[in-house]
Amino acid sequence: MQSRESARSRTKRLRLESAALAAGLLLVFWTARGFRMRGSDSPEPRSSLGAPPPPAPALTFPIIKNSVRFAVIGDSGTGGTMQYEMAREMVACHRKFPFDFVLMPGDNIYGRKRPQGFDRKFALPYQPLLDDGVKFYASLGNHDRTNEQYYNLFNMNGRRYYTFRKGNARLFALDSNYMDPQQLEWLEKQLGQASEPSKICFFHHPLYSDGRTHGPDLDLRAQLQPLFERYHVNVVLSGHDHVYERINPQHGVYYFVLGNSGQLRRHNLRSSPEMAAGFDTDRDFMMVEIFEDYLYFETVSRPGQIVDHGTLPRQKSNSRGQRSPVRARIHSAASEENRRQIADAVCGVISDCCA
Amino acid sequence: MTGFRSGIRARRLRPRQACAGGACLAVLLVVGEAIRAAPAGQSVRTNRDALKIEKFRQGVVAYDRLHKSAAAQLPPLKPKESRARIVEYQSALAAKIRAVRPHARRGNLFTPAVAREFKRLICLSMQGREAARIRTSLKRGESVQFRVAVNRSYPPSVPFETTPPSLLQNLPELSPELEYRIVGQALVLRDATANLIVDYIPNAIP
Repeated sequence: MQSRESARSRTKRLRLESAALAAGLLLVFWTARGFRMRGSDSPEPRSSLGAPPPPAPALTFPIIKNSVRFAVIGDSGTGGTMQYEMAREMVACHRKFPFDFVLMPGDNIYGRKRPQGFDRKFALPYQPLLDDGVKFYASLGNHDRTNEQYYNLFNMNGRRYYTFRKGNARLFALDSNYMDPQQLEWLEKQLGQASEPSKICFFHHPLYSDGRTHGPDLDLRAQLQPLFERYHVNVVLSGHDHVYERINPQHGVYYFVLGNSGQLRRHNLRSSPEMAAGFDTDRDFMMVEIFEDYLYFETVSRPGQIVDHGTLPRQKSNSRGQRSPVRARIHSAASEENRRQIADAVCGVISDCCA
Repeated sequence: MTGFRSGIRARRLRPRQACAGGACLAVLLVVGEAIRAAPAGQSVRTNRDALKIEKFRQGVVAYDRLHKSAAAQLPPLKPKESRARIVEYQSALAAKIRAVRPHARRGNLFTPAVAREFKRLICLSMQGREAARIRTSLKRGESVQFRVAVNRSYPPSVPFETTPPSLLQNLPELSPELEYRIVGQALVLRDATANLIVDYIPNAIP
């Protein structure tokens, strides 16, 4: 009798213990899940905002007087720790390479569009750059709202799509969410009128991408690519896929995907013959310098590593309007040391550019 | 020669017979004309379709007027505004438009006839070579799902699905305040400045 009772109590204890263990496991699981979710989009602690920027990598830009210098950040507006760390790296690089403006190919503010969200996801992380007079030019992504075109710090002046000139470059910000016939007509007119030798378009959805999640927008490509070819657009910058990718020139146009300045999809790139370079294991941003016939670029990751760099010669078109690659060379205005540095930097890229 | 002979015969016919012959000739002429104008029958159908689109356009113009009168009651947005002012303006404008059309229902702009015509236009643009391209673009765009209702705001944290350019080329032009959006299978008419759903067609995308 006693043994039966003790067996019963043992079973009861065992059941209680297993229930407690299950509850404990569940608690651990949910806590870990919560941390993971918060870790990707948590507001930056105020103390780290004033932290000194990390040391910048050894940049090899020629930094020529009167050149066009800018940075590119895509899919940045998470308001998370990673965006803030990326911004600090940008500040560090800005001290070495003083870029004048930043292009944003969309998804500038994720989530709800509260006034404090604009601060947390844009104004606060880039405050040191804004204080230094760096201008941000935005285009709209699929997570942005149309009214962001009125936001003073995005410099869109109340327009969904717009164009502006910087030195010898003409830049076009497009709204790829809504490429209606009016926008296409406007773009064709503006491209036709542009007399600047360098034409750069930036918008959210990529025409070429090897990102597994989204990939290229084929319908957009069918509409835009003929215009880019006809009017000799040199470079196209996009985001949307949360990776970095440089595409081999397509129909004479250089394409970049840069959608990992705030968001990231790890190991999301698939290898393809179109890819010239790719990076999908951390956040990054790109810096560009344009002088005469050359575009110098360097892509820097959040920890300050140069993940891609090179010099792209401007495409020349013959009397029939067909593109032919320019022989890559180092510009004579660059100092001897810079020349050597650039020569080292571009040696692996030139063959890609002129392919 | 033939004409001359028939002329003689005509002269020989009695008046009653001549009348009957004339009527027959008239009937033949009318039938012949109808047969000749057979392709024009299609143009009549096109006009009917155009009438539906015209009715939709009139609805869009009326909404545009309503939007402008609501916006006129608010201090206008400048090209460069603070974030607080943008958010405040959007919600104030949406409230004013809701107040003007509190009983707005699905089908106010997309009437059943207009919705049928839109579905036909969408089907047309998604045929042939472009079909696969548009479907791929829709699949690769960030597909969104939420409960669509007229006079509700488009949820601020839900992204936009790309409206394929080829599709937009086949749909009637809108005023700058309005835009077509795709939500799941539905085609949504959205007021971009007020972030309001004006009307929608469920199951518009095949």
